[in-house]
Amino acid sequence: MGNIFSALFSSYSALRAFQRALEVTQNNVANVNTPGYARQRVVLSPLPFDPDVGLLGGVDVAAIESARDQFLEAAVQGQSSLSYYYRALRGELSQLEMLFPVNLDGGLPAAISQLVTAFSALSVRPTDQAARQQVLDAAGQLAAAFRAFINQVDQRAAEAEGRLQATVDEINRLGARLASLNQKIRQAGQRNAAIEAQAYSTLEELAQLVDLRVLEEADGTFTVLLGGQEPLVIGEALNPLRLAFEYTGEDPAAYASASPPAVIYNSQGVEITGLISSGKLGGLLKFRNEVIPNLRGGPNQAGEINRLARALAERVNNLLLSGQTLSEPPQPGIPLFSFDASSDVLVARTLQLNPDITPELLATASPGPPYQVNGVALQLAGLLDKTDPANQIDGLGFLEFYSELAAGVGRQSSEAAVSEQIAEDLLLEAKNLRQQLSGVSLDEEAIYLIQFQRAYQAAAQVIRTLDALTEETVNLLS
Amino acid sequence: MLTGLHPSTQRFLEQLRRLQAAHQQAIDRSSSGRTLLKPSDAPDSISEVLSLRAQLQRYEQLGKNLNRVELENRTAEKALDTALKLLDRAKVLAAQATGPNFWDQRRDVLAVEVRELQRQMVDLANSAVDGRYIFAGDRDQQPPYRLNLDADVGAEAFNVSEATRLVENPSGEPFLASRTAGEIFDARNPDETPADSNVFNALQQLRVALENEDEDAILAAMGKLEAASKHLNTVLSFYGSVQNQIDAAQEKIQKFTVDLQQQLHELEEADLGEEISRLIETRLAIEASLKTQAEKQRNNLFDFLR
Repeated sequence: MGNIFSALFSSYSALRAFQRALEVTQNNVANVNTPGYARQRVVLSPLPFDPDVGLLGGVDVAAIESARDQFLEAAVQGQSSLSYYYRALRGELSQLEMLFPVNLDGGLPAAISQLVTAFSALSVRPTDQAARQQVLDAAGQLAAAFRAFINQVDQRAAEAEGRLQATVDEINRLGARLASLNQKIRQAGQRNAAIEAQAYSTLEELAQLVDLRVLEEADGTFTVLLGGQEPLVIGEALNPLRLAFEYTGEDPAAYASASPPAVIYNSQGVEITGLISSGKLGGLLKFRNEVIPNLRGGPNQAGEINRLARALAERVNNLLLSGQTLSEPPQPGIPLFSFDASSDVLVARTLQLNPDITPELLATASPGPPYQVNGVALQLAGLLDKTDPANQIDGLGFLEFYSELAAGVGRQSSEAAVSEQIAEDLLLEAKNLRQQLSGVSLDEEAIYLIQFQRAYQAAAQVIRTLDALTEETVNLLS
Repeated sequence: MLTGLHPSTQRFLEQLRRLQAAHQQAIDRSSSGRTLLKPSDAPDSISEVLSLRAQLQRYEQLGKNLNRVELENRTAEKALDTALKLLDRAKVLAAQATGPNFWDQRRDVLAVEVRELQRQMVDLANSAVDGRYIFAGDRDQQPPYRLNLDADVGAEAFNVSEATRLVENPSGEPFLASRTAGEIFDARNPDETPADSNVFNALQQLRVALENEDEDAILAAMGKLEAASKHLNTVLSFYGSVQNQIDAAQEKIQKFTVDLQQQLHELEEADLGEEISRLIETRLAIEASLKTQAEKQRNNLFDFLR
């Protein structure tokens, strides 16, 4: 049977429940800007009420629920990976494309054109020493332009390698943080909002760096799988990644002297590079292992710049070797360019003017028959004539070949920029949706604040009333 | 690191970044006057732009080459004109030497003048432009002939070679632009004896005939002078045709250059009006975006609770 005292107890339970609700609301407001935080809500549950059998009723906090939606979190993580993949790739490509001038003001195209111009000037004055020296100067500048280009590509590669290492270090650091959070979750026996916010914040940062899949275990800890397969964090254990630069192909490398690709190893020493296809790490790997070797060469490719350097140098050299000098007696021609021919990947970086050549040894004459004093010079002046198959690489003229290289990098950069924009838009959409469904709205919290404040006040008023009644009852007895 | 910014704020920042990038692009294009500043601006146009620029450079050099050849050609024409005048003078002297009232001692005087004509003719054969002996053939760094009155034709071949230099032609096959001194002034028969049209020999024969006071030889020399003049006129017409080829080539280069520049202009020149409009538009959009964000409703219900 119920009495005033049981009513008091029931009111007390209400005060306690509403106080907890107010605390949750206060916590939500305090964490409105906390990365990774999802709003909390108390779930109130009525206590059994049957005064005749002594059930006092009241209200209790059944649970504090998080509004976090796993699918929305996964969507944000996935889009983050994609966005940062294209951002990293676009960033590297936008720097690389600056190495490709699109006019004849400098760089490789200018040097190629100037060499051809020098040959043309020589063709009309084949015996002129100044014109001959101009050819040697132009050839020296072309060789220097190739070497400078390769050096600049090397520099871009080195910078990308530095960023790769920093990214791998950051992944390991974030993984260690998550493992530590998992430990706290296990120690606490249950997850709390603070740890959960830190964990999801860490996961979102990780997703920017690498594509991952997150599994929530039964004990509340998080398991992170890279590329959906490779465990990075399991419970309190971190399996750190390691970056290395080495060739790991099954067959021997065709060009052993080329710079090896970047590879990622797991903690067991197993290569997992192929699993990483998104995130900042994925973008940097694509740049370092595909874009760079396409230009300067790799273990199994000569590199397009090396091909251009070789084709151009050999064409010039062969024409000169077919000619003869103007001396008495005439001498056979010698090469204008020299390079390390032991490996295709070394051509551009070792290209230089033949140290043995002098202006007099430029073999401008074609022996014929018929003899022609400027025959070879005229052929050299026509180097950019792509209708001559001997002036082609893969069916393209020399300048055209360079243009296609530049266009290729330009297209990749442009496509990466467009993809980055699209991915960024989708990421913002996903974040917006997550914010709407899981985030803290100050207006909503204000409403709850008013609601629970009023309820608390009402419960307090009930207690006040019951207290007055109790005092009245006691006075009656005394 | 995550910022904790509200997604709507992140979207504003992203849109602002894109507007600023578009604004900067408009600045770059309007200040440079070009739309193609880097490969990603227009990847499909790079090949054509570079090709056009290379062709323009090539035609510029071809123009310089042709100017040089034209200078040599004009010099050659002038030399041949002068040579014809020298032959005409020689004919006058020969005519004087065969007149009925001519005194013997005048033939010696005439012989001295013919000797001078010979020296001048050799000088003409050694004409040079910028250090290049234009009638020396391929070995053009040294004069082809020197005066030697004791030689069979009064001049000695010093440095004779063929002329095989061809000149690049922008619209056709390369062409030969010069003849050698041997061909012009020292024409020979197959047995290496001086031909009737040998210019040096005509003057030499006249001088010797005058010195020997041999009237028949003077008359014979007059015939050779006539043949030599005809020969020089033929050579002059060759240089005339070379000049025609040069003129045609220069005209072609000019036309090609204009065409190429027009094509280049269409490909890479920025439409300044359009870029300036875009500049203004993006600037206004940035200002409007910033203003809107600044005036955005920032209050929430908490601000109104008492």
